[in-house]
Amino acid sequence: MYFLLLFLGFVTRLFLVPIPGFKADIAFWKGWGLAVADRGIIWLINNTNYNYPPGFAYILDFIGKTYKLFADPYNIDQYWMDNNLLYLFLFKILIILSDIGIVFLIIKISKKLKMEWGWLLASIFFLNPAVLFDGVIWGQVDQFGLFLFLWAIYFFIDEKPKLASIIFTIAWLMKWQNILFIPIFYLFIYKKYSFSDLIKSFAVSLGTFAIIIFPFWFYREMASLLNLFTVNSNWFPWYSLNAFNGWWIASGLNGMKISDKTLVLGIINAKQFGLLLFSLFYFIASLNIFLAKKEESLKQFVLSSALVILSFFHLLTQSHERYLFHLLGFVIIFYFFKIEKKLTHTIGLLSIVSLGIFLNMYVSMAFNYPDQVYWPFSTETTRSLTLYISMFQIVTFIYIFVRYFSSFIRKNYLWVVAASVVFMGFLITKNYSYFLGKPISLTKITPVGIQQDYLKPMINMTVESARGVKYWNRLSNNYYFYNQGIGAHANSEISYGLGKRFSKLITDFGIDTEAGDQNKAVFIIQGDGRELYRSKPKGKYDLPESISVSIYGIDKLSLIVQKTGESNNGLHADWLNPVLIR
Amino acid sequence: MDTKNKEEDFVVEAGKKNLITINIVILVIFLLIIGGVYYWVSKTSKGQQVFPAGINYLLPKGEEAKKPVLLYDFAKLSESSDWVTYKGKAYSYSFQHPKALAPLSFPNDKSDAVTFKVNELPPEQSLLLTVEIVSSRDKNLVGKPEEFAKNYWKFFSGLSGLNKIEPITNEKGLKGYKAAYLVKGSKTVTSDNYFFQVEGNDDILLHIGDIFPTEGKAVLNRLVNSLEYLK
Repeated sequence: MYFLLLFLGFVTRLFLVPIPGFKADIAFWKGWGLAVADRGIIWLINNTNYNYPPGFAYILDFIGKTYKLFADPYNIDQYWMDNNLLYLFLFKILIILSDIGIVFLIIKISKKLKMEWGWLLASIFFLNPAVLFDGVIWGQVDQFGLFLFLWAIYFFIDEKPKLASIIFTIAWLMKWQNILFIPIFYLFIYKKYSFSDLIKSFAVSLGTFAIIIFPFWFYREMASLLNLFTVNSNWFPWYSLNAFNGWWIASGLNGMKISDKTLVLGIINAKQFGLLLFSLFYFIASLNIFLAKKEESLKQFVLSSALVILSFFHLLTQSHERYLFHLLGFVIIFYFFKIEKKLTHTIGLLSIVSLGIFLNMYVSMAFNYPDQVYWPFSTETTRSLTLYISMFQIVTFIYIFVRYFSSFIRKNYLWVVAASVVFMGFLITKNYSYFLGKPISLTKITPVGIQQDYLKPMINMTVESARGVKYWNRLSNNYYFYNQGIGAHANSEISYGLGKRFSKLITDFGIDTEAGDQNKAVFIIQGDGRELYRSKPKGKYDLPESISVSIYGIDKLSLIVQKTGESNNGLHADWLNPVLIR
Repeated sequence: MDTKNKEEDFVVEAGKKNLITINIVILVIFLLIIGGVYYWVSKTSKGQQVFPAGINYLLPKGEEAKKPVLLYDFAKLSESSDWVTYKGKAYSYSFQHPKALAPLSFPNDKSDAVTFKVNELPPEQSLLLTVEIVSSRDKNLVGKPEEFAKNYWKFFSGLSGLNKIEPITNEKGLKGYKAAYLVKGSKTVTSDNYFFQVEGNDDILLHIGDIFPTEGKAVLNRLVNSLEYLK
């Protein structure tokens, strides 16, 4: 019976392979795969917009090279077609293998823990529409990450922490989301085993890491690797990347239109607030492992991992629609670890979680590639529907948190209260000056948008400082030095999402001492697109000017520097000691 | 006794052989079905080229000049708040577009065409918006926008037929049709063409062609939805 279901799932997948899916993602796989197959991993990272982990590049390399055996990837009329069946097959067959691997691990974990219904739950996973949609239809690789993570858990059940560490290291070098689990992963090893095992696990992890990133240290390109690790932090700086969560609702159901640098609480922006909330929940997840009995710690690690992935999706900005995928595997193993004791409850919870994930991905696909799905609603109706999907997912999050963590919090409320106090303390400390109505330096607020013709604006330094340590220089005008300010270069526009919080901007401005003396620029202040102030043309030897501009009721404040003549050469322009008054 | 055992062994052996044969036959049939489906899909589906956005690699060095280059980060443009209004010179249409894209129009152009340099084609061969004067194409199609859109391919020797057509209404309430056409001698179809009716003037249609690469679809959608015609 179960074999038949699994076979059905396999055949369904094979029939779904020709669907082009999320075309932009597949185009990236093709482009990056061809680059790494032709030029190697370091060239890929230094010369393209590759922003996935290094491990995934090897998979793309394998597919790229295999493709070359059967067809010509340089035939642009064939390779780049969205219905390139050979490429779709080569890529999606790996996704299918990952799905099969997850099925295999679900069954193995159930057997290892002497629990029934492994085959049933594995079959449900394999036929789950959310799993099918994310992988073989969309063309995403979340299953790679889940497969390796579950494998690591299997090794833990088998009491092999070192092997688990090797697999886990591969997991986060294959799919970034797994980085989230690093702290609780090693915390669990320390809790379940010993400090010595923790060190050994670190050592094998480091060894695995060194092998996977071999080309980087061998060719002395570690800086490229470091860049790859950090490049994603502001790749899409929006409230929500079609993740239907609280940020999506807060954005007015248009998460990719509101910058997450917009202020939401005093001078704390959405991204910072999300990070703080996430940290609070991460602390609870860590505490759940740290305070667990040794024999219960693996169970609690699984539960905490689920909380981490839920918090990641719901609390952080810049979350993608697919980021709950791991939960589809976690909820199933809840049953084997007796986190959820009743099979019917497990299947019920899995159905609820799957429904939310499926709808979120389906609607995202309808937004981006309406030709890939059947969706009978207009864009505006769909936006309204996303409100209900968001609320449904938020309620699911609250339900899971309350159901599985309420007794833990009751027992350990002092810890949680202490963490909440730290959380609140941070909010208050950060907003101390704001709450007291004191002036706030604009340099403390992250812009929502920056456009500049040369280098990038620098905080409390001249623009030339952006070239590196050797060029660091203090802000000044005619050798009058300022401690605070923004070093810009014409033409530039720096925008802030102030959320109508302030009434006045007071600032000095002028051309920096390090500037050339050939050209002049005007300084413009705009509020919500309306010009509030425009200076006379300023050159290197003009003294700084001081102004106070009313910004009452202004949401978006823009500081603009424009060249007045033909050239902007050497126009290093400074906003000096800019402060906001409530 | 021995003979009986040998007979039983023979039967079991024969049964195993039959089972293997049946399995092989099932496997072959299964592979033929899947292969057949793939063959059918590859022969019938009309795909389009999709290139990765941003800085990317499409061909080895030396041949890179041939590759299509993405001139803008369309994802950012589509979400940008920095959009401005373009107004027609001869006709009173207007639409919004990203400030970063400079409108290119043509002196004394009766069709009041405008475009952007967003692909590798010369702008005059890749027009975004033209005002179609229906009577200059076919007098019988005046006041019949759907018929015009359905038969538009007939005005071009490189097209062989209509692929699909559907009625649309943009966010400003302009009604019209979205159509794509078959390219003669290949399996491909053209990008989408939009034909919007102008209230009170049956002889003109606002024709928008999708000149954007696939990554620019969101920019086009936003632009199309901002199209207006003032009386």
